[in-house]
Amino acid sequence: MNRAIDRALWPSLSAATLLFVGWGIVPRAALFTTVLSPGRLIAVASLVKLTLLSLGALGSWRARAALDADNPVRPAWALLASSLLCDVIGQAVLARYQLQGEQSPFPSAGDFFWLLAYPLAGAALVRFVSAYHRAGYPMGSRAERVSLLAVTAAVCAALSFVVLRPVVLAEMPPLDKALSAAYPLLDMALLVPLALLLRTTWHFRGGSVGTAWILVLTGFVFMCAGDVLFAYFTALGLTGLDPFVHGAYILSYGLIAGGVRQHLALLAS
Amino acid sequence: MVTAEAVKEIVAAITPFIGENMARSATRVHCEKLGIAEPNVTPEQVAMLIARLETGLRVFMGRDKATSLMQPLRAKLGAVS
Repeated sequence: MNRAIDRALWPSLSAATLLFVGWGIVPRAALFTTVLSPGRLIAVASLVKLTLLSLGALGSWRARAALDADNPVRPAWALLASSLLCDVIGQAVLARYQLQGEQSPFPSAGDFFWLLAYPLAGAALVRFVSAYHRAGYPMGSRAERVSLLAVTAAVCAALSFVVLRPVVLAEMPPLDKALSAAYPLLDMALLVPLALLLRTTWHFRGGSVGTAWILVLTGFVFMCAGDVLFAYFTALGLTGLDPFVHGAYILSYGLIAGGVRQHLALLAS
Repeated sequence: MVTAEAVKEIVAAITPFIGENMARSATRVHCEKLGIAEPNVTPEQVAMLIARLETGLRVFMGRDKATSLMQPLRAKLGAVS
């Protein structure tokens, strides 16, 4: 079963991502106006996202369970599993509408869970960094880490300004505007521990640990990209670009699920 | 035992998991901390070096897997704890 999932994951992910990118590039192609109508594609996207997020959440929980009680990364896996579970619930709330061909509401109850997922993911990343540093691996000096933290925070602050400008200027109800601004802001905040963990795990490149982490962290980067695109397109009213948002999320969730499964393979090797 | 040979064997065993760069760096750092130098290393020092690296691997693969990875290496290098 597990091998079948691993074998199917990457080709399915590539096909799904290409499908949505293709939809975005040539929305009037016969394929997208007949067999795969927009309503059906949104339903497909919903199911694919739910499946990938569930794989990631379940895999993270299994990684936690496979480690000893005193292993310092066990709580980090629990936090990551909780964060992905929040994403699963958020997506499930929208799936109810998307599978019936209805317009997804925004805001919705799902937003509560998506917002909750951020601090949990951030806490997980920080705990992973901390645990790997305490494991005794040579990771460079504290000054290097502080410099990286400062540079990433500065870049994210500058990016936030650029990204938030159209959202703040857009005419939307206050709650919609607050949520549209909250997602990119939280993404920028998440990029800070993400950069730290990427730097830490980069030292393990070439090994299965490094590969697994590069997949997970690239997935989080695409998640941030999806959120930023969503906020941008919503603020500018560019609904025709939604396929790219779907594509970014599918790729993101798939990379996270794939990376988590590689961690599981390491535990079972 | 010749230090360079022991280090080579240890690095080769852990490289598939943590990559060659980290395998070399971690082994070198632990050798320095344990006072392991060229040209020779004692079986006790090899045992301590393997134990240190095993502790580091536990964070990724758990205690049992880390032990099962390092146990054949202990036997091969004649590590005595």
